[in-house]
Amino acid sequence: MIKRMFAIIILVVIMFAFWLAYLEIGELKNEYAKNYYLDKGFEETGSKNLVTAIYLDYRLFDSIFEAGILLLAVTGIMFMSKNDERR
Amino acid sequence: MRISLILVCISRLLYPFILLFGFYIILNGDKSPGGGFQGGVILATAFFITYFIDPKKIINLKLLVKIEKYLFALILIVACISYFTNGEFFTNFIPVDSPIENKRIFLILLNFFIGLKVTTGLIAVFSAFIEEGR
Amino acid sequence: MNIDILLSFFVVLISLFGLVVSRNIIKSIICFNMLQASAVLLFLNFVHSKEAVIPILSSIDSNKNIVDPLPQALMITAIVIGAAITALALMFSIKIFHYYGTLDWDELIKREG
Repeated sequence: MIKRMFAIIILVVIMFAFWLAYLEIGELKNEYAKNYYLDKGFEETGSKNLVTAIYLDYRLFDSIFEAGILLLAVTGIMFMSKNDERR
Repeated sequence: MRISLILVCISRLLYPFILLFGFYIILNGDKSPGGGFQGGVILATAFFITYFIDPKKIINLKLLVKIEKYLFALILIVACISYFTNGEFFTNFIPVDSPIENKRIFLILLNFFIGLKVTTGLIAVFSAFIEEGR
Repeated sequence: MNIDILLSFFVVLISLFGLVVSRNIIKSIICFNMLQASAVLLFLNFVHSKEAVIPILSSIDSNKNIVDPLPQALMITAIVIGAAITALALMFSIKIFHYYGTLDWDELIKREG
């Protein structure tokens, strides 16, 4: 019961921090990247779908190693499904 | 587990259309909503339907992981070609001053490889869980 | 500035509370998944507006107001990584159940220490 009370107190503090962040969220918003992609995205990458233009050209490094993480997870699952110990 | 006959019939009817839809999503990823990741998940769903048709099916897991490794190496190679044509890693390998229509070749190639890689990865995960439950 | 952003904060709080008080491993995995879903919700609510259209150039005719495509491209990778991590965690939990015969955190700590 005490554990639960402490958890609720910590969550109230986190909620207060979130509220402070929420009040300033309007100043953080800008549209420079959006306007750049809208103007030059088609000429530089040749893709009409701007999301594809981002994840296959501007941020290709990101999406390649994301595929690598998928490969690592599959390898780990294969390794664990073969070695089965019971007690 | 006993599977209803109606479900088997509908699955057999639906299987080629889901395959067609998945390849459409992957190959049109650069001019309509979609792309490699989403189309790969749809293709994996088409494979899951075959478990309704034949529940005792056994697939070769080692071969799947091997295919996935080679596909990952192929994606890396396709992404690194641009160093020899444009002098820069991880970008389009078609030269910059060529017409815009030619740049689609790179996008379609990479989308296709990423889609196949996601498909083999999800099939391997799902089959590992099926093997665990047997 | 919309109230939907607060919704994702509430999802974060609920999943953190679940991570603290849950005693089953499966419930902890579900709470991790909820944390990831709240991040996706926050990023997509941040750029959402009612009169904007999807970021595809053939669908834009007169109004040049599109949704920002950058968070969408980031969230594709986040969703795939979340699915991979969830599958790995579920396989871990299956192996733990085969080895110890239970999925309770307190029981596991008692047996190990």
